[in-house]
Amino acid sequence: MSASLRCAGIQRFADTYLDGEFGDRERVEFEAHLEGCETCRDKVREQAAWHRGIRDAGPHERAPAALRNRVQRAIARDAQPVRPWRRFSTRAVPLAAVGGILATLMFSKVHWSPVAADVIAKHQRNLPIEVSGGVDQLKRWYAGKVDFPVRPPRLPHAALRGGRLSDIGERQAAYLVYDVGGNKVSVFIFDPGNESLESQRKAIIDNHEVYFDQERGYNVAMYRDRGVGYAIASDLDSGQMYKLVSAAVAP
Amino acid sequence: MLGRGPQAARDEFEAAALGHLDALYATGLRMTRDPRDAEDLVQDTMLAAFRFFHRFEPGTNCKAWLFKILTNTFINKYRKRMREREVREVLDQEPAPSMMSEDVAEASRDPEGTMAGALISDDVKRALDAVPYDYRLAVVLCDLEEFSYKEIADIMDCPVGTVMSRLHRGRRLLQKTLREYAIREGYVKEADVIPFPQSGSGSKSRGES
Repeated sequence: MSASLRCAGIQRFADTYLDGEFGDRERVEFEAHLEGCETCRDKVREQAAWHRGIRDAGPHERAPAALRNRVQRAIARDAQPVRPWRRFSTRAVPLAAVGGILATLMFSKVHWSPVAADVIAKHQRNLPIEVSGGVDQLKRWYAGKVDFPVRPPRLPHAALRGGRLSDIGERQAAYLVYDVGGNKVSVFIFDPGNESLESQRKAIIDNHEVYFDQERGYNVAMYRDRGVGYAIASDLDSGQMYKLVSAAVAP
Repeated sequence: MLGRGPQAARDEFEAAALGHLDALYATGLRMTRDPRDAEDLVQDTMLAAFRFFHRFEPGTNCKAWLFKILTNTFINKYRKRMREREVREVLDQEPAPSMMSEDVAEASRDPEGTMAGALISDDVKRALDAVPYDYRLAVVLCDLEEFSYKEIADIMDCPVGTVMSRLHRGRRLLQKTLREYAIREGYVKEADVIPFPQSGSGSKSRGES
């Protein structure tokens, strides 16, 4: 190997050497070359100065005290997820039976849904409406714009404010905005493919598997209907949300 | 966490994880470049970590485990905003015989250590934020959080060789940007930084031409 090629190799791995990532043998060989090569020694010294400079001057912001409190409160809420739902289920199950709805609530703390996180992030923002009007008008507007049928769910005591094109992860979505008693309700309709909608809590409502999640005070429900995915986000409480979804999936 | 009371689970998680809040927030800031988004990202990360804490193996590196959740949460939640990824993909396709292009290599030269020894924190922050996401994250994890290459590979879900090339390119881009700042602000003169290459080659420097 020529000296210039050897020097090129040495300079190429200067970072690896300075990061202490070489094994003993490579380090000894590297240092032996530096011993006899002023050019490489200068270049490694130069990179070492950069490493030190970046480490010394690099930003190390501290988390705001409020964030620590926020995190601890969120964890405290999350540490006891079963209680409100257990209370809710004791009321909901007889009610569901009377209403002809088969509801089975199962509690499992195994999933955290990226779909829910995405839906909440979009629900929080006041994204502009691209089309407004009734259900039929919106259906016509979405036809040809998305690759799945857009069937706006029938939500009780809800006014459909409008819609826009959106996305869930990398999937195209129809985003509908409803008003329920002055509360904003966001409905995302999308092609879920094989993506899992599983989340913290699962309920069987009218033969639909509905997954509920809760983040930062928002409730999200996700389900499939005839192969199309639905994700509903709102700041309604858990009981109101359950009623809303029960009506949405009812035949 | 199963089989223990919620308070015990909380205490155990908080003892292991809360000490890393500053590091998560600082890196979250470098990822999102927005304090509010960084706070949301860290809260979501901590909540997800708490829910999955039963999967954490005691005795392994809790900080690295939390950072992996941080990057996954960021990608899941902010993927659509990451237009920089496209920049990285374009850069990755460039031929890189010595792992960086000569212009970046030359523009980042500082043989006397003039700039490296006088870096200003705000400039480093600004310059870091200008580096494309994947390179920036590799540099932050290595230089600011002092993770090993193997840990970074696990956090970024890529091979160690990719970590090395992202680090290499990220550092050269960072150095180039800092050099440009320094010259623009008059901290150093161009002639102080270049000639290039250094002694031994016998070739003419840019300053002499």
